[in-house]
This record gives sequence, C-alpha cells and structure tokens, in this order.
Amino acid sequence: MDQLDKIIHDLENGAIEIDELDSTMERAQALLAYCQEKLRKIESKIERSKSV
Amino acid sequence: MTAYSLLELNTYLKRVLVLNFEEPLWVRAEIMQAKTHRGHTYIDLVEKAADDEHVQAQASAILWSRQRKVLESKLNQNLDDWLTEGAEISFLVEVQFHEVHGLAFHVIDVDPAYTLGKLELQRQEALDKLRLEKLLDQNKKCQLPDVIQKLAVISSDAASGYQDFLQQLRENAFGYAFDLHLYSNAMQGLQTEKELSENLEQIRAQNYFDCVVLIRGGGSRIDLSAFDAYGVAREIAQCPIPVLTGIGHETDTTLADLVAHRAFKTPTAAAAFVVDRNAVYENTLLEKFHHVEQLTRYSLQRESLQLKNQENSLRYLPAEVWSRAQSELDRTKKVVDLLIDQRLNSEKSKIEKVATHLAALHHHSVLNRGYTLTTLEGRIVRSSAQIKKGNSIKTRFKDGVITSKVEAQHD
Repeated sequence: MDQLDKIIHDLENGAIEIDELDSTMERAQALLAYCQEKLRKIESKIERSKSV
Repeated sequence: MTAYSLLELNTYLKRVLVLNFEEPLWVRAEIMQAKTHRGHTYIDLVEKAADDEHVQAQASAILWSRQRKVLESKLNQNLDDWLTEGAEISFLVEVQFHEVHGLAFHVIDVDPAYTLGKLELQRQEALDKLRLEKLLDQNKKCQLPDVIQKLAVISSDAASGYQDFLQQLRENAFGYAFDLHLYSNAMQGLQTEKELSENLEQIRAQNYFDCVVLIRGGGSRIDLSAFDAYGVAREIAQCPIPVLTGIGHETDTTLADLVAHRAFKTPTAAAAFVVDRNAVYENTLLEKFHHVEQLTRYSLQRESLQLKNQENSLRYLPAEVWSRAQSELDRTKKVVDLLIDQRLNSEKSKIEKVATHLAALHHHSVLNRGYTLTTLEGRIVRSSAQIKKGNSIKTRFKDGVITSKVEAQHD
C-alpha cells in the first residue's frame, strides 16, 4: 500500500515520465491486485476461523 | 562387839522384812530391762529423777512362770507388750528376802490403768509439744503424687499387717505393679524411734520414693505406745515425703497417725488407698482420653461435612465458572470479530479508494474521454511555453499517435 500511495503521489505531481507511465501503471495494477488478493486470503482465513 | 555370821544377818533381815511387809504392796517403777528365762521373767526396775533422769532407786523383780500365766489370762494380753524397756508399771509385789539370793520382789499383779494413764499423759504432753512446734500438719503439706508406684514400707517383715499390705497390693484388681522396698523396723519399744529415724534418713537420702508407708499389724494400746512417742511422731512429721500409716487399730489414733499425711485403720486399708488412688488417676486419664476422642470424632464429623459441602460446591461450581467464562469468551470473540471486520472493511475501502484513484489517474482513461497527450522529445508538454516554432511534437490519442511540426505560437 505504501508503494501504491507513492505511485499515486508521483502521478498527481507529474513526477513520472511518459515512457515510464505504462510500466508504472502496470506495476500499480499489480500492486493493487496483490493487495486485493492478500485481503481476500485474510478474509477467507478469518471466515474459516469463525466457522471453527 | 558381837559379830554376826552372814547367815545370821540375812536371817535377821528376812525376819525384819517378813514382819514389816506381811501384805503385798503396790510399787511404781520404770522397767529398765526384762528378760524371760524358762518362763520366768526377771525384771530390773528403776526410778529416775524427774529433772536429770539419774537413777535414784533400783531393784529386781521376778514374775514366776505360773503367776505370769495367771496374769496374762486375767489381762487377756501377752505381758511382753507391757514389760518393755522404759514402760512405767505399777506392780503388786511381795517383798521377800532370801538368805542366798537377797532381796527380791515377787510380782503378783499388774495395774494396767496406771500404765495406760501414764501413757496417756505422755501422749498428751507429746501432742502439746507437736502442736506448739507446728508439726501436726507438716507432713500433710507434702504433695502426694497422683500415681503411687514407688513405696518405702517401714514395718517388720514378720508382721501379719505387712503381709496383708503386700497381698492387697499384689492382688489388686487393676494389675498395677509397685516397686516396694521394705525397711525393717522395731514396731514397739524404745528401739522404734531410733530405727525409724535411721530408716527415714535412708529413704530421704535415696530421693526415689513416692511415699512412705508405716505398717504394723494391730495390737493393744500398750503395743502401740511407741507410735505415741514424741520422737517417732516428730520423725514422721518432718519427713519430706508423704507418710501413710496403717498401724492396725480400730479405736484409737496414735500420734503417728495424727502427724502422718494420711492415716488408715489397717494395713489393708492403706494398700487399698494406694490402689484406689492410682485407679482414680487412671479413670481421670481415661475420661480425658474419651473426651479428647469425642472431640476428635466430633471435629472429624464436622470436617467431613464441610468437605462434603465443598465437594458439592466444587461439583456445580465449574459448570457455572465454565458458563461464565464461555459467555465472556463469546463476548470477546464478538468484539474481536467486529474489530477484524472493521479493519478488513477499512483495508478494503482503502484499496478500493486507491484503485479508483489509480483508475482516475490512468492516462488511458484521460485519453478515452477525448483528451490527448502531447510530448516533446519524450517529455509531456504541460505548457505551450515549452514549445517553440519548428519543434516536432507528438500527440497521443486513445487510438494512435500523430507527429506535428509547430508553425506558430499563439497566446
């Protein structure tokens, strides 16, 4: 999330070159997917704990 | 001057005495010594001065065997009990003089009342003296142990009273054992005091006995006169160990009995007292033991009941505790779940926000909305001031890129 926050901050401030834009956005998407997956796994684990 | 032959003189003296002492007469005297030989008793009589006790008069008397039997039958007593050293007696005597054996008193009768009166007088004087010296209660103040086991017996081993005493102790119903030591002592006559003093001294020195028991097997008043002597009574009174007496007489109380710690009528009664005292103590102990036993039983019952109650409490308590803990756990779990949900939602919302933000910032979405992106030499052009006439710029659309040459600049 910190990395995502930094990317957003850089995007908002135009600190990213046009050539890096695509790769940066791809990385942002990957980080976002990673975070979402991690959250999903935690949710699933919690659900399993609850059922026990 | 006419000289008489000895026979003539003795014959004359005999005639004078016979003429002057036709009738028997009563004479009072103290017995210095009495010996019996072949049934005849030879008695030495004295009279002592009242102040210094020096002998003022002395004579011999004979109690013939036949006359002795007559007197003993009349008095219903053995005369040995009367004819003891130091006894003051009133005799009815015939004064006789024999040419060969000289002067002699032939005893015809004895006045027991005189002797007993004398004894009573002496007894009273001794009693007054003991009272004056505060000796009457001295031995009574000695502590008699609750249990009597070690006995110093002062008696004569031949005395029937001693045998009775032994038998009573040996055959006691409780099976008590006694450590008994006999101190042999004269039980009548002048030796009694001396031997008693020596025996008590030995007993004192041993410092072992629980009590002293003075035993005699009964007897007449005259027999027991030694126990009315001041010296004997004083020895008993001053003995630091309790003295019990079982002198064996039903009617009279001797001075020895008076000064003793406890006096009993018979040796058997003295032994019975010793046995009973131990039995009383044993009973007291048993009662205490039973009391302690009861208290212990009661205490055990109470403890047992308490334990039972606690056991019951414990049986139901865990369920209650468990239930309470369970609900506490449930409550905690709910709180934890809630916190987790909140946290998850917060994280989810944060991620969603980031995703939305990213989507908004993505250049594709900008291009999709119809905007273009201009770059000069690879860099995004944010201001027209970055471009000069003649620059070659690239314009990016959502679906492609065109290159343009700047011909003019406008404000």
